[in-house]
Amino acid sequence: MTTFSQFRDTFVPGAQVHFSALPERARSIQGVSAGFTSRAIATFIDIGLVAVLVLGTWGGWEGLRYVLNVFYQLPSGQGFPLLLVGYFIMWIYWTWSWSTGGRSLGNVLMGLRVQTQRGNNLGLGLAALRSLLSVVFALGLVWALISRKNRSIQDILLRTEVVFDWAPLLPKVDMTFTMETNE
Amino acid sequence: MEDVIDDPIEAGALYSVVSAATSVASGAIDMTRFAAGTTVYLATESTKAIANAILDTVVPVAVNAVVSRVDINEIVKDHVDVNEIVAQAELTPILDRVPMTEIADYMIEEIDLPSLIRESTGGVADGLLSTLRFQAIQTDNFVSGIVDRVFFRREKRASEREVSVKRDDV
Repeated sequence: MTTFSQFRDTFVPGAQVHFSALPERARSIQGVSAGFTSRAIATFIDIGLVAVLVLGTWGGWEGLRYVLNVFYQLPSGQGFPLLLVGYFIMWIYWTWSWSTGGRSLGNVLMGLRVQTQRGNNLGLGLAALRSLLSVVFALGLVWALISRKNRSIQDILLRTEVVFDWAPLLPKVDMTFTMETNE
Repeated sequence: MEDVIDDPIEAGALYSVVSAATSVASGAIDMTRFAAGTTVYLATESTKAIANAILDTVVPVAVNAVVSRVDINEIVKDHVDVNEIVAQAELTPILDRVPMTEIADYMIEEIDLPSLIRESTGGVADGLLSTLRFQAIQTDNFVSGIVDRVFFRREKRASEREVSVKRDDV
C-alpha cells in the first residue's frame, strides 16, 4: 500500500499516466511483428471460414435441388470449380478485410493486424495484391519462420508486415490523464 | 509724567521700547516652550526605545519560559472547540488547493481499477482468447528459437525479446 504522499513523490507532474485494459503481459508485444504460428492459425481460421461458406452454400444449393428435383443425380466432379470459387472468395475477403483496417476474422481472433512496414493501413490495390499472393502462394508464410523480422514472402515483396494489435476486442477503457502542473 | 506724555517723540520711543521688550519676552517664552516640548519628546521617545529594546530581549525569553512549561495542545483541546472552528472554515479555497486529479490517479492506481474493469467486463471468452493468443506466441517463440539456433543467430527476434524481457521483470 502506497500512501498518497508516496504516490505524489514518485509522480512527475505533466507526465501521462496510462491505464490500459490490455493484460499486463501482452502490453510489450503490441505493434511488434507477429510470428509464424499466430499467423498460420489466423490463416487457417480464415480458410475455414471461407470453406464453410462455400461448402455450405453449395450443400444448401444441392439440397434445394434434391428436394425440388425428382430426377436428382448426385453431383460429381465439382471439386475443382468449388476450389476455384473458394480461392476467389478468399481473395475478395482478404482484400476487403486488409484494406479496411487490416484484420480478417482470423486476425481479429489472434490479435493481429496487417499494415505497411511504415505502419500505415493497406490501400485497396496493395491489399488486393497481397491477398492474391497469399491465395496463390500461401506457403510464402513459411518464410516467416526463417526471417528474422517474421516476414513472409508476401511481406518482403510488398513491404508489409503483420503486427500484434490486441486492442479492439477488449473493452475500450483507455484512460489517459494529462496532469497539469499546479505550481 | 506729564512731560513724558507731552513729548510725542519720547512717547514713540517708549512705545518702541515696550513693544520690543514684549516681543523679546514672547520669543523667550516660545523658545522655552519649544525647548521644553523637544525635551519631553526626546525623553519619551528614548524611553520608549529603551523600553522596546528591553522588551524585545526579555519578552521572548519570558514567553518561551512560560510556554515551555505549558502544553498548549492540551489547553486548546480543553478550551477550544476545534470542530466548531473547522465547521466555520471556508471549504472552497481549501478544495482549490487539493490536487484532485492526482488523488484520482492515486485511487485508480491503488485499487487497480483497470484490472477490476477487465475482470468485470472481460468474461470467460476474453480469457480464452488471450490464452489462445499467448499459446500461439509461446509456440512461435519456441519454433523461432529453434530456427534461430539452426542458423546460429545470437540476437532474438523482436517478439520473443519483448515477451522474455517482460517475463524477467515479473
